Amino acid sequence: MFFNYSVSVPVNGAKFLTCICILFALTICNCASAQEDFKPTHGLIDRASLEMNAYPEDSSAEALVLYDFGELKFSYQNHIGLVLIFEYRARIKILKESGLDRASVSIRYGEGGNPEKDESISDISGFTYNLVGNKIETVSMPNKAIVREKLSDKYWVCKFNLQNVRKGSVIEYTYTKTTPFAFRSEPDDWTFQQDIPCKWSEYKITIPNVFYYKIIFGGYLPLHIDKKEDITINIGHRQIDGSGLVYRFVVKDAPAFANESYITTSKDYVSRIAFELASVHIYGEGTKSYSQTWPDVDRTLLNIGSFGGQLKNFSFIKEITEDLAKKTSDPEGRMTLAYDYIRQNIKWNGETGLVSEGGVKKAFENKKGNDSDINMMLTNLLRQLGLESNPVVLSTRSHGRINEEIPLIDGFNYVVSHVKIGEKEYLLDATQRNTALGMLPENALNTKGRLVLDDGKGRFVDLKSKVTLGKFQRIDADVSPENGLLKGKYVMALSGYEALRWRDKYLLEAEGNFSEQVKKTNPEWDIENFKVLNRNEKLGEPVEIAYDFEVENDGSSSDIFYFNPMLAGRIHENPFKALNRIYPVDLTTMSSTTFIGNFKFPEGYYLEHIPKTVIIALPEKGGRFTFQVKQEGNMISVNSILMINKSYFSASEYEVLREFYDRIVEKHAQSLVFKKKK
Amino acid sequence: MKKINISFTKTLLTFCFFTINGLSYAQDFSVSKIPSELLKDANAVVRLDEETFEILSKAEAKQRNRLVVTILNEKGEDTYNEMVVRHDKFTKITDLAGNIYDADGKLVRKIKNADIKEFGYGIIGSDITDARFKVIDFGRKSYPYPYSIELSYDTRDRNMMFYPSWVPTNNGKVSIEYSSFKIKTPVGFTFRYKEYNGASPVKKTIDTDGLPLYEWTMRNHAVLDKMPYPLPENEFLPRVLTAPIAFEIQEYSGIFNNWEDFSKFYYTLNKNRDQLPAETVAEIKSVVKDAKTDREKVLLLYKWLQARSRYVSIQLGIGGWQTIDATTVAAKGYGDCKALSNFMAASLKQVGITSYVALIKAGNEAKNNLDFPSSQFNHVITCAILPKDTIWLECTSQNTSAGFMGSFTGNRKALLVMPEGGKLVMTHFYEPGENAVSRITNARLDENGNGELSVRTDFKGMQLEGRERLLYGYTKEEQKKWLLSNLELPNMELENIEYSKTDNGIPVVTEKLRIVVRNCATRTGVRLFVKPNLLTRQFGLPNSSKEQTADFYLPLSDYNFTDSDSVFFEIPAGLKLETSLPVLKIESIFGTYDASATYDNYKLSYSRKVTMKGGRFAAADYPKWIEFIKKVRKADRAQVVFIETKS
Repeated sequence: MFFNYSVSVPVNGAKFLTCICILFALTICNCASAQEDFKPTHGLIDRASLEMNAYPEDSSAEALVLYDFGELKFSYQNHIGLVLIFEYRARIKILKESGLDRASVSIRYGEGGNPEKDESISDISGFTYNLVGNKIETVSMPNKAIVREKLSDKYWVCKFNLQNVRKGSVIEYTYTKTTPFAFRSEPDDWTFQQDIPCKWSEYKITIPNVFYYKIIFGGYLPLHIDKKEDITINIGHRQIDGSGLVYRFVVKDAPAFANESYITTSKDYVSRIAFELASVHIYGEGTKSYSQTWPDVDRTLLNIGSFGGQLKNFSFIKEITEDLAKKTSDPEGRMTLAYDYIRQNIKWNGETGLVSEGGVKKAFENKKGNDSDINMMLTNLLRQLGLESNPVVLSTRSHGRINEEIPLIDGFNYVVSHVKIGEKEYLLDATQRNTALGMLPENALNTKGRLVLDDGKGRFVDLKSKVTLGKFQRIDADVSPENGLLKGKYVMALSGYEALRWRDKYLLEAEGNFSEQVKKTNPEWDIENFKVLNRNEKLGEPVEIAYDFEVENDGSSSDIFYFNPMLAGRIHENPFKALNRIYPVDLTTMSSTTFIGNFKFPEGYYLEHIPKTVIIALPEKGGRFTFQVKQEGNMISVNSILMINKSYFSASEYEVLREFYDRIVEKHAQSLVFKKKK
Repeated sequence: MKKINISFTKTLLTFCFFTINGLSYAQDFSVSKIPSELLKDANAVVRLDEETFEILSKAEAKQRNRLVVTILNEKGEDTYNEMVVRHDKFTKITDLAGNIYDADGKLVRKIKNADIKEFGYGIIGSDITDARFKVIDFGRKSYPYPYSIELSYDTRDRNMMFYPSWVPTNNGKVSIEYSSFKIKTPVGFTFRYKEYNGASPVKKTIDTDGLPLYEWTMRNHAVLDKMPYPLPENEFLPRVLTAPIAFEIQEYSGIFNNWEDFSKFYYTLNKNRDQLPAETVAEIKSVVKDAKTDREKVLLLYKWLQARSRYVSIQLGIGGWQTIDATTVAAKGYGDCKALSNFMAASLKQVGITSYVALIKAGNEAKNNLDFPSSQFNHVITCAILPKDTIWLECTSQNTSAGFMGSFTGNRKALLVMPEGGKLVMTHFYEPGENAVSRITNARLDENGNGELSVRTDFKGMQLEGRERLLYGYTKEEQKKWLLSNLELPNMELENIEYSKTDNGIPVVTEKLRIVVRNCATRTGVRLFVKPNLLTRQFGLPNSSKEQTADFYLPLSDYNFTDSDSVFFEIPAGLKLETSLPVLKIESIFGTYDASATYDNYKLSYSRKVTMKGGRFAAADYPKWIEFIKKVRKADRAQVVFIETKS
């Protein structure tokens, strides 16, 4: 039994707290509570809510959640067995016309014709409150406004529309969702924060002590109420009845969640609560444990047929093994052969998943499968080739970050292959057509992955890539101040993730599409001899683009010539414009961006002013910008090098990052001034 | 405005290819048989696309579809991997089969039940509908390119208001080897049809069973070069439109020879659905009690409708064509476009104002071929008739001003629904002067180039729509984010954002901003570089260097406007002008551009006015167009340089 609660420092003096707290069931509550409480009566509205016509904290919010309440209880039903009963209630104020859609409600539920596993939605009621003249008018929703539609073999949706809803209305509805334990043994996630502001969001859950759930909090809002009480459970099932716990969580005045750039996925930032069943403890039958420690997670995974079961010595692998083994005995060589073989022969179906769908064998026959099929197949093949290879499970960026402190299988949704040769370790993902060996796709670069090993030897491996987003551009040109004409050669080399992005985008396109794109980005340039080298011959090496160009510079007149030398790679706008930021900046990878310009200008002109060399660095070697202009005779060379050496910046580093880019934008905007010698 | 809510067309394959039977000729789908010109630029080749519409009676038809496509690469696979067949209460799928062939045309897989999934249309959104679809997955296994897929299915149709149209090519990277469209009728049965844009003329024959057969075909159609500024598809893609002359649907029967007939039938279908309960009538009377003119009454009732109702997509009843009655809308406070428009008309009737609902094809740049009367609409609006004036009312929107018909429904023909048969009438067309943005910016620069901007902008006509969305649909934070990423400034702090709308006949959205801009101008040594065209976006140049051989089209929704900008800079003391001031005036058939600047006593005043007239232009005018944008772009980049007085 332990209690873990961490609160980090406020960011930029904003009112938000970074609060990631983890608490386990069966802990004793020691938190202070008894703050302001709120529970409106269903079907009864206060005049103030109806008279309100804007929410002062967010004057342009289209609607405001006045009350958002969910309560989950366990129950026992004779024909079905154990069920989770979730009662939901929402009260929403409509502030703008665009908020009227809030009165159309859809609830998805699982129903596949097996009563023991079918969810149901019941006890739906709805009210619309309007102020008519000076009178409060309450319209209740008739039952016939409720429609149920089959979505697929497994899912249905229940839809209803509240009536007489207009700008200014308050709507309220309730429903109960019953989920058989056999369908899903975990309560649904609860989010305290929505796309509109929410004044009061409350979640209550009663858990019999026979069930042990891990409760996971996420987000950046503090809890207003955080309470726990002992309770006696009496649901009419001998084995479940007895003691239990009631938790109550409230978040007050949550602002609307707004998506940001440079984040993993909104799920990692929105305030919410989630559950995972850790164990069931039934008196007389002992404890059945689910995942509890990381070695447990490893063991569970290795015991699942669709995961560990896929590492068997399949006969189809044997044939290829023999083929590949003949070619070389060098371990690195074998690794490359196996990686290329799977990558080139088995197609990724675009789906991500922790476990194999139809099995590795089926995927091999179909020559198609999900990430787990493909990388388990690769692991298998590498092992047959005598290499030390094991699966690494991870969570993709769009799936959200994993938390090392909470051992959860649900946190993972992706599998790659780990290889150890001597002291060197590699992570391989054969789902991607264009990743060089050892490079993971960007979506997989999400903090850490778990190397799944038997006997408690599993461990976390850092997924951070040493490979950068690399872009090198160089221009060698002759400048004619007389007519403003610039003529020369352009070269660009894209490496690492830049090369991967380019290849993913253009290799499937018709040959000419990229050159058209370049012409579009520089519409004023006349471009000739367009060449692309190393499209995909050597994935580990840069893609090179070269062409000749001619362009007319704008700032020329007879005796003075203004010239911005950042002909390529100029950063026009600060990527971090917002004044402050609550969330960390997650750039996925490090980057390196270089521009070199060598300009030859004719005799008879001189450079009036040489801008000072500038070197700006981010703290802790986070990044560095160097800008230099040099003159040697009638040659001017310009050097702009921008290195970002970290992929992750905390919110407290945001301000300096913003300032850093402001300085780059400023420097890149500066023009050189040539004058005619008199 | 909300999404379109009636599905009119008989498009069964959402991926646009209609298909059919008639497998009387060779079945060799080997890749070697594809003529080489069809492979150029293609991601896939339609080998065979046959659709037969067999009319059994005025009330019923059978449709047979067959499609064979050779997939050449991953992009082609993405297009044809999953095929969708829609069905509903009036359209039943009676047979469905799929096959996959290798490059030699050898059958390698038959589609099984496990490859077919069934979904309700509701999965897509909040629509209430009985429409469902089947998704046929051809991609469970990976095959080396090229390979071919085949899909065939039959349907039974009992919605005979609409006949299929045939558009054999979708202008994508897919070539067509053979496509055919057949209509088979009972002896002596008549229907109407019309070919467009070079579609092959009909071939009339008698089928083996003695029934009349009409056939259109297309052979060996290569992938077309993508041109910048293409004409609207209905002006250049071959197509055949067809329509019934007499039809039955459920207990209704109709005649469809012309627009009057169609208007009349829609009227009949929805007759007597405009009754209102007594309390609603009383409410209506009280809403207009102080109105002096009919115009005022219309405006008041429209505002009242907007405030008391909202849009919900409903696609039930006679093919989505029969409206929910006005009494129900009065009680529920919601409806789809038909229901809300009907409710609006019913309400106007109560105060003695004539109005009609009108059928229209809604959507940005939505085009149809209205010289051929057939069902080509997807939306319903209301048209109030006043003695000297008509007022169009979009009843699915809570924010649109009365009479406003922007990119969604403006500048096109709508069919008025009248008891004796109505006619096509034009909705409002916004002249360039009406689609106006006028902006006044005051910018105070400091010696380092940082600026304090106060900006006031008025948006009118179609140019109002985007900002109206910001005003009505966005939170403060979203407005801020939108501005940060859409104003092309190096960096900024938005100190104040204010949106408001006024409506005195012509709606105007006003935006007021106060912005602090870092590096608003660029300081380099002793100089300050000022780019006076601060906030107006540049014209884009097309990225194609190909020669323009066909007429081109500058969409009216993008190229029919007036932008006026006045920017007043305060230049810090101690600086003097080093360069000349930009002045440029361009006149062309596409529009005019006029920019000029003056400098006096540390005040740099810049003004810019662009008036564009979009539309269709001859290929020969293309070089002039490019020259025009190049000149404008250059003028927009112009900078004014100041230098310290001492130097």
